[in-house]
Amino acid sequence: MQHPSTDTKAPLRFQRPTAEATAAVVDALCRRFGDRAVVAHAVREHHSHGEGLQDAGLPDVVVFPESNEEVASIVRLCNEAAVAVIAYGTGTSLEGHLKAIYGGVCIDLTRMNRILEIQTDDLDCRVQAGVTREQLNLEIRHTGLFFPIDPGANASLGGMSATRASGTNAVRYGTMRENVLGLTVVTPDGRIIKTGTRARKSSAGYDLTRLYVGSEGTLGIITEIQLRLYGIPERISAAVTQFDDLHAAVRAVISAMQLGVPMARIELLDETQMDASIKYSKLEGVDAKPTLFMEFHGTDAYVSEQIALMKTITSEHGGSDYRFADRPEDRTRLWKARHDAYWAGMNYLPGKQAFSTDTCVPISRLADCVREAKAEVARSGLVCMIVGHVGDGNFHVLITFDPNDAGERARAETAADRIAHIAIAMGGTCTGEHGIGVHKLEALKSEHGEAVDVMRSIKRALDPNNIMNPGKTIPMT
Amino acid sequence: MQTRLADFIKDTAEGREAEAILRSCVHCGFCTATCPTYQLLGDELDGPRGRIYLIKQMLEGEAASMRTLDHLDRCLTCRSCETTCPSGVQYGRLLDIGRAVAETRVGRSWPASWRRHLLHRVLLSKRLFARALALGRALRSWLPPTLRSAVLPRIEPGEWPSAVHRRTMLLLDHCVQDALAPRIDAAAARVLDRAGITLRRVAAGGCCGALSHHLSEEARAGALVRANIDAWWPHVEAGAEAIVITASGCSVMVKDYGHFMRGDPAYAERAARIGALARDVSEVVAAHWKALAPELVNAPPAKAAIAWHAPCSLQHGMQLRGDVERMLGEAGFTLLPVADAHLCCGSAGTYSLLQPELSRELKRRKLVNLGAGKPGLIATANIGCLAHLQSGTELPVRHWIELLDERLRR
Repeated sequence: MQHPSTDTKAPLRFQRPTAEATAAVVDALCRRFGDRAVVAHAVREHHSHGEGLQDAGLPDVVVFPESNEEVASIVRLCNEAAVAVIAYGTGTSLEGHLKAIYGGVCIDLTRMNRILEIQTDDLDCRVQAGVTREQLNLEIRHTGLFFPIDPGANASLGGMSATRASGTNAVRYGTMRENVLGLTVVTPDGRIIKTGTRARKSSAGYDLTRLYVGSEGTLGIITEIQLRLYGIPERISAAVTQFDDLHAAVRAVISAMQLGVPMARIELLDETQMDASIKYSKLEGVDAKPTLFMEFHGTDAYVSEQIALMKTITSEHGGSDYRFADRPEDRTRLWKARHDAYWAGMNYLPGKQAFSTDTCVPISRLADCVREAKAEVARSGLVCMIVGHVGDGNFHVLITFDPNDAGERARAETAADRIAHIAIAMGGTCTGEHGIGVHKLEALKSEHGEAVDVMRSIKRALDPNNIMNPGKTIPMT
Repeated sequence: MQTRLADFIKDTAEGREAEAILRSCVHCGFCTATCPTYQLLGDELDGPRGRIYLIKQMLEGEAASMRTLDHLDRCLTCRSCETTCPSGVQYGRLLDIGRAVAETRVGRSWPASWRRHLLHRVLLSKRLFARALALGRALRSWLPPTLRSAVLPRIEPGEWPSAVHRRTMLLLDHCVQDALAPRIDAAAARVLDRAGITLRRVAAGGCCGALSHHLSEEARAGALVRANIDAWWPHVEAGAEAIVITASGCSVMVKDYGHFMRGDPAYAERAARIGALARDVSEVVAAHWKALAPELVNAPPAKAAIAWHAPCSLQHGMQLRGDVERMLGEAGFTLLPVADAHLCCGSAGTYSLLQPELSRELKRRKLVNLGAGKPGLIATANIGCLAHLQSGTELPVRHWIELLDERLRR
């Protein structure tokens, strides 16, 4: 057992347990879970990383629990032996959240994939952590409701909560922060607690729900989520407009946001990303030019009004005529292409690796931030593409590099770091929706300074043995 | 994916091919969603991405175990994942390489080896297979229902056309199909006869080689391929336009002859030529549809509605989709929509005999989907799927070329 320090400035510590201690835990799990505890190398490798940089750290065992109690029993066992615990949903996080730096136990929650209740009258539902966003939408479609948060991947809702994810709909419907009403969490000492209520608001004590949303598995394991749902709008209309100049496209978005056009989605793809997506997703009728993908939700009249207003704005900034996608299958195609942007980028240059920045700035600074990010990209000499949820002031630069060329990788990391600091200097954040993981620890310090010490105190208080995803989210020192 | 292949395979043709395939995989996992065995078992290692990891590790020199071989054996090679894969990963080729390595490194128990060997012998020997089938048919009414349904009743093939046209194509000497359903080749000959093409039967190897290839009997597969090439070559030189295959599982193999024989300098060039001339019967009929369609113009609509089962070899292996459906529609048939049409029926060559439990469950699910619209019959394009599906349903299961032939002969 490691003894926590009471000094608020003291570093967090985690020591890899002895091989014997780990082996004892693995044995106990294999005995208890049988086929649902797996030590096969291929399975451990698959669970050692998400998307993005592939610096794998292998867990010692992967366990597939099926209930809150099973999760609690695993965590309790690990806490007693001071073995690290990492929660796994679909393996699509982007900041190295899944890398088992100190080995340990990976808890794969994909078997906890039941929708527990749907209350159509209250527009909410309760799901287990392993339910994916597409699964939820498929299973509730008969109710006329939908769940809007849509990161690129078909991620698990537990993982989305843990990383405070968002997506293309966030400009209208918010992120996981706004849409999680409550949670069931297994704490590091193995208790099963419920946070939040089904009420739309509450002033009852500390808001633990918001504390766990975005905690990246460092404070406990989210096993159930109470989510808000929305009625499917009467009319949904998607449109595409193209620009000759990236900055003109960004300025059009800023105008729209400042005028309060209630866009449901407004996404920017630069010319390189469009080229990649046209090839990968076989998009037709568009060119490799800076492009906005837009979607309007509402009644028939309301949508027409929004489109008319938006057309005026984009044409003033040099946008092309709109290509509409009104049929559900055309809209699906369009948004699938947007969601697959990361894979399109990966596929654009076979053999290269890529990772993505995630800055988010106040809307008025978006054009400046994109311009400065572009300059950093040019300085790096690497192939990059920009794709972003620009309505929120959030955009990603996908930076590609040759994994066998240390120089390229260093240049990629420098560029990413500088872009993060540009956003922080503008009053923004280094990460709008991907999280800190292992790759943005230094940026977090720049962004929050002294407040990081408070975060460390919280971590120490809730997880004194530091077994929960150690080395992530909060800098150890 | 970054790879560091081990010395034993690094500098071989297989090693280079495997490395190129491994590098093209970006691990997105879209394939797992369309993998039949992943859907049944829910184990990462029983889906394409997991199997790719297993093969990668093995080729990087890590030890393989019987469990590795089990996971690779459970793959149907339906190649549904290749259709889904946006990165163009040639999973089927990688799996062939991985299976061969796993077999030599792990080895099979002798009962398992003998079982595979025996199966290989019986299916490949026309004489043995025909006798077994004849025995089965003679005793049909005394057989238990499970076995009875597996023995296809004999249907008269009908006449082989006697007209000799200037244009000729060669017919693959199918192994199992000739005994089980000789009517299929006869129907194909009659349809092509109407299009002005003589389909010529040439005594050749007696099998395309796929059966041996998928049981990792590479020497036997090579011998069959060479025998076929030797038998066909004089006819090809004399002007035969194509090699026509009426079982899509065989079509995909013959089309791959060039790749299969690339290491054999004596045959590589001819094999590539033969591969390029190979045509699934659906391709040939589609290419001559203009000549055939007018004969169907005034035909009344067909009575029976059809549930179409596209074999994996057709829709995934050869990426041929839509032609047969369109032609059957224009021939007056109503095609019913079928859910999960991209999934394998579980036949997959010898899979139904080697992995009976998985195969049965896939068949059950497939027949539920095929039967959902209350069809009068099920149509398909591969003898393996045909016999497999027929063993689980009272509905007649027919090759689509037979249906077309009947419409044309009306």
